[in-house]
Order: sequence, then C-alpha cells, then structure tokens
Amino acid sequence: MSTPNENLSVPDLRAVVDRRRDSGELSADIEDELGAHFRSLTSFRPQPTIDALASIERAARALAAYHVTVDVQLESDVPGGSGVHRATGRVVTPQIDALIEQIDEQRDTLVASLDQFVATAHEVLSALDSFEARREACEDTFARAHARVNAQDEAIYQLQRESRQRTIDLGADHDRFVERMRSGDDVLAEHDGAIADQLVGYDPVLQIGGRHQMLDALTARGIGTVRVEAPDGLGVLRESGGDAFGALVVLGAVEKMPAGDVVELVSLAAHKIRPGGKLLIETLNPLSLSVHSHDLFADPRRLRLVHPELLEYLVESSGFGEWRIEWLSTGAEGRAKPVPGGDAMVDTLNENFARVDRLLFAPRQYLLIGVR
Amino acid sequence: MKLAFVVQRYGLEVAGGAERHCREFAERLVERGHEVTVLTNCARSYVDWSDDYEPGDSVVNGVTVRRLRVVRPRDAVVFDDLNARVAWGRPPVASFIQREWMRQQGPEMDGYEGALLDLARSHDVVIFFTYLYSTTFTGLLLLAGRVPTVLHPTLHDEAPAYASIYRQMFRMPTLFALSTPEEVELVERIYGVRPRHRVIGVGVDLAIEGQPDRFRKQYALTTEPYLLYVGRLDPGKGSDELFDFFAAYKIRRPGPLKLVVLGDPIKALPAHPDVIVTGFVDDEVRNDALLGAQAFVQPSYFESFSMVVSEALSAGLPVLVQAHCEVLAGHVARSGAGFAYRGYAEFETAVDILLAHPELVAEFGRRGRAYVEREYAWETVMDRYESALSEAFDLGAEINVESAVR
Repeated sequence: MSTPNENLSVPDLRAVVDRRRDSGELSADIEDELGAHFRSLTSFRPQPTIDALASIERAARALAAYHVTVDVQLESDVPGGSGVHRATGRVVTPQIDALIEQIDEQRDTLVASLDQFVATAHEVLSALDSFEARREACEDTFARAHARVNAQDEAIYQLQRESRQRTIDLGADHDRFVERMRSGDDVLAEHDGAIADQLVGYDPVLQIGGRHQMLDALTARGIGTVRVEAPDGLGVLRESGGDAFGALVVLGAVEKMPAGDVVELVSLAAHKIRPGGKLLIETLNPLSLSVHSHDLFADPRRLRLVHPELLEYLVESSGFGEWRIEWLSTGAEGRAKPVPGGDAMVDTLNENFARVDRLLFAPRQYLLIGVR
Repeated sequence: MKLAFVVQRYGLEVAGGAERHCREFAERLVERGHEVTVLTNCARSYVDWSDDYEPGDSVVNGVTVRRLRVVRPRDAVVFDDLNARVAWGRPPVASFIQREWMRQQGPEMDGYEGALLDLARSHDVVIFFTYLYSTTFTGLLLLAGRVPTVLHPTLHDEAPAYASIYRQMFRMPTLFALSTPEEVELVERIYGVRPRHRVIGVGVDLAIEGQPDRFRKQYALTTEPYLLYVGRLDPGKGSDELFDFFAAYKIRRPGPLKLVVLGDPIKALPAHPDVIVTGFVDDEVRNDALLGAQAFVQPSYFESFSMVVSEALSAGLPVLVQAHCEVLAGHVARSGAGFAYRGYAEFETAVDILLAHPELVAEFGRRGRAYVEREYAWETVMDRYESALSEAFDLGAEINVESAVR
C-alpha cells in the first residue's frame, strides 16, 4: 500500500481514499459491487423532489433559445451545379421558411405551455408546503387538546376520590351517633349469629362497614375477619390479590357509596373472593316508602338506596354462579292495627290497610347472598 | 422523588440495549435515595412476548418491579404482513391499520391502563423507555396532561420510526431524555417537533479489567491482530456488511488480521478462516476480548447511543464506525478516537492506517478514554439525569408542543 502522510491528528480519511483511487490502488469495481449490498440495507424513504421541475425549466429555456436556420448550399463543384442549386433554392426556400415559421410558432406555444406547467407545479408545491405547515399546527392542536382532555379527566377523578374519602363529621357525638345507627336495630343484630354461622370455613372474611356485633359474631366462631370502614373498603379490595377472601360481608355500606363505586365493588368482589366463596351485601330496602321518608334521612352519610334488582343484575353480570335475596325484617312494627269485626266491609277495609302497609312498611333491610 | 419507569421488558436476564439502559438508570436512582418502581410484563423475548417471569411485585436490586401478564404472544404471520405495510409500504397508511400494527407489535398487557394510572397517581414522574412499542404509545397518550412524563425514545433512523402514528406521541412527553445530540436532530427531522430535551447519554464503567491472553488462549489466537465486533449478528446491525468488507479486505490484503465476533446469531455468518464467531459471552470474556483487540468495529446503521462503542472507547480501543449512522459518526467526531467509514474503500483505508500506525492507535486510545471520562462517567450522567427529572417534575404535566415547522 502507499503510505499516507498521517500524523497524530485524525487523518482525512476521505482524502486518503481519493488519493488511492487516483493512483488506481482502489478499484471502483469492488466499491460498486459492495455498494449494491450496502444500499440494500438502507431503509426506503421516498422524499418529494422538485428536480424534475428544474429539468423541465432548463429544457424550456433551451427550447426558447433555439432557432432553426437553414443554410442552403448554392456553390457546386459540378459544372452547372450552382445554377441547379439556385433554381432549387428559389423553389424550396419559401417552403422551408414557412415550415420554420410554423415550427417557431409551435415551439413558442410549447415553451409557453411548459412555463405554465412549471408555474402551476410551483404553486402546487407551495400549497403542499403550506399544507404541511398547517398539518404540523393541527398535530400540535390535537396534542394540546388530547392532553387537556386527560387533565380534565384526571381532575374529575381526583374530585371523585376526594368526595369518596370525605367523611361527614357530626361533631363531638359523631362516634356515638354512628354506633347508635349501627347497633340500634335489634332485629338485625339477631340475624348476625345466623349470618356468621353461614360463614364458618370461609375465612378470611373481609367486613366492610356495619355493626361491631357482626365482627364479634364472626370472631366468636373462629372465623378470621378483617373489618374496615365503608369509605376504605374499595381501596382495600383494589389492593388485595385475586382470590384473597373466602367471603366479603358488606353491611350498611352500599347506600353510602356513589353508584359507580357500587358497580366496582361487586366487580372487584368477583375477583377477590375465591371460587365457591360468598358475597353478602346488606342494605336498606327501597321498596319500603318508610325507608325513603325516615331511614334515608336519619343518617346523613346515606346517599341513595340501592334496588335489589340492581344488585342482582350486578352480581349476575360479574359472574357469580348463584344468588338470592333475604328480607331481614317484617316491617310490621309500623303497620296499622286491623279494624275488629268480621263483615265484608271490615274485611275490605283491612285488606286495603294491608295493601297500604305493604307499600309503606315493607322490610327495612334486605340481604343479598351471592356465591362465586 | 418517587419515580416510575415503564419499559417493554425488564430483568437481569433480559438482553437488549434499551432495557439494560433502563435498568442501569433505575438501580442507580435507588442508590441515590429515590423510590423507584418499574411497570413491565413477564416477557424476556420481544419476538413473541411469552410470559417467563411470574406476574406481581418483586424487588430486583432495590427496584420494585411490577409485572403484568402479556395478553397474547405476538402472531408473527399477522404482524409481519402489517409491518411490511406500515414500516416499509408507501405512505400514507390508514390510521386504523397503524393502530392494529401497534397492537399486534405489543406487548399487550392485562390491566395495563389501570396499573399505569395507579402508578401515575402515586409517583412524581413517569419515565418511558423506547418509542417503538405499545407500552410507550398507549402509556404516553394516556398520561399526557395528568403527570410529568419523560421519554427516552432511543430513536434510530429506521423504517418504523416514520409511521405517522408516532407524530402525536412525540408531542406528548413533558421532557425528552436523549442519548446524543444527533438524536435531537432526528426527532425534529422525522416528527417535525422541536423537542424540549436534555441530552443525558448512557454511563460507562471507566475501569475495564481483563486478561487479553486468556481470551487469545481460549480462541487459539497467538499474536495475530484482530478487529472486534460485539453485538447481534443481524443484517440490520450491519454484521453482514462487516463480514463482506472483511472478506474483501482479506482477499486484497492477505495477512494475519482476524475478525472476532461476540454475539448471538439472528442470521449466522458464513464460515471464514479468519473470522472467529464466539456466540454470546459473559462480561469477563467480553472484557478480555476488548483489551486485546487492535480496534473495535461498529457497522450498525441503527444506533441511538451504542453502549458497546463507549465501552470500547473506555477500554482504550480505536473505533471504526458506520458513517451512515449519525450517532456513531457523532461519537467519532466528538472523541477524535477513530474513523467513521462510508463504504468499502474507506473501511479498507481505515484498517490499513490503524495497522500501519501504532502511534495513532495509542493516540486514539487516549482520546477515547478522555472522551468517556468527560461525557459518560456514571456520576456525571446521573447528575445530568437527576437534574432532568427535577426539571420535568417542576414543569408538571405540561406537554411538549413546539412544532419545528411554522
């Protein structure tokens, strides 16, 4: 090899290559041969080009500058030839001139057309450039709008979360009030033992909200139970692993939740309760008008009543295999006393009272029991 | 800070430059006192995304790793057809086709969006690695405007990068963490957006130790000089071209020079008496090989940083790199520690010069080491990175929208 004149600075590699090419040391063949392979690896990215337009413009200018001339030969070495040339020239030249004139006209028309084409093409390209700039602006606008929608969505989520976490404080007597609301119903407390009996062998049990008597009844039967307050229930469920519980007991809680949380609660329960495990939801019965006028307002934490048909639908659609509703109280304590007597009018009167009583004083609570 | 990384694969056993890059940053941030969670999946291979790790939370070198199951493995037949259309076909490609291509590319993970939102709501900054996959595409579009986000695109000048589906995505991060100055230009050129960015780079271990003689003995080399290539044997990485160039070189310059290739074959090289292919080797063998080489060759067209080049420079090797890759050419231009070759003639000439001028080799080695010490010592890189993350946090959920075209 020829020795390049390098020193300790970075040699100009390309200059060395050029010198080698000039000297014939590097053949172009190898480069070309490998160049095909080299090019085959580069990615295909067609780029718009206006080189073709520049070529057309150059061709139009060349065409405009070109003038056809005819040099008629008049001289001849052949005796008498010049005369023949002149005679022929006189006949032919006007025709040739006319022809040239026609060609010039056609050429001018062609050049004008090419100029018009190039100008139009430039306008189109300029419009494309403008479109490209507008497209970028649209991308920006869409991106900003997208982020703004996300930000609004996040703000709504945070508001909802804060709303869920907000507890209503009734002042110094808050705890006593809550406990009174929980334990005040002796009829319900009677059911606790029966419910707890159903959950033997289903531990661990998660109890969301409700009476401490229920927790006592469960633990008394040796059922491992964790009790959390209603506002914390969803969070605990979300963070629990799949099939984490044998049973989930939700007492007096769903009427204090936003509707979306009730849907999520049942949906989560279907994943967090192991197959064969139980979901128990006890809540106020909206089929009783007395509940609407009394219970709903007695505790300010209650937001809405949850219809048993809605809970049945949620349980079914979440994949629970079986479910049933149990009515937890008769509601008889509020009913009208029957009118004594036995004739037809009294019977009709009592029957009508009974119909109104059923509407007013249907069972105050119901219990949904689902089996996964 | 509480920092969350989102990456398409993660783990000590996962090969891949971007994934290793992510893990190095996550672990070093933990060492600096940050709380780091990584959201990823159970796959080790990007070819089919099959579940290899257990789903759920685990701790890897101090980093909490949350793995989700991959919904389904990649269907190569469907994906390859879509890829041919989206990445290599003539544009424009309909948006719904591009979205399906993205979905098929994967990894599609069970409960990803919910997990991502939970992560975003409990961390200060969410950091995405690699522009290409649906983890980043879905994630950035979901989190933009909600939480500060940082994108390490690890962008290559490759065909899929030109899919128009990415134009929106590249406007979504709060801040770009880029590997090189060339990557800034590439983002602007392809996506028409002027990225709010910091050039971070990737750190490199400055003290590379090994026993070159052990490597020579193991692979039956005596005193022959050798060029070293470390990486996948993959046409896209330029390994075919390197083989062709080297074979041509040996025809024109018979002599003792060898080519040593360390890496897993995606496409095996033909047999050649002067080419030694070792397959994948551990760090010890790689360091032995680095310290005994005449020069390091990086023929790849598509690099966003090239950690192996920075390691070779750290080991004091001159580098011969693919000039068509702007990032590699940039390393050489900034370090002055080798040659960027464009085509066979320049490759041959560069090799000739290095073999004939040991004093130049030594000077290149000094320059290379100085370059990585200056730019890519881990302490320096992590200082830059922490500063960038703080900037992203201060910016809040503001997105990066500034078009290059006005």
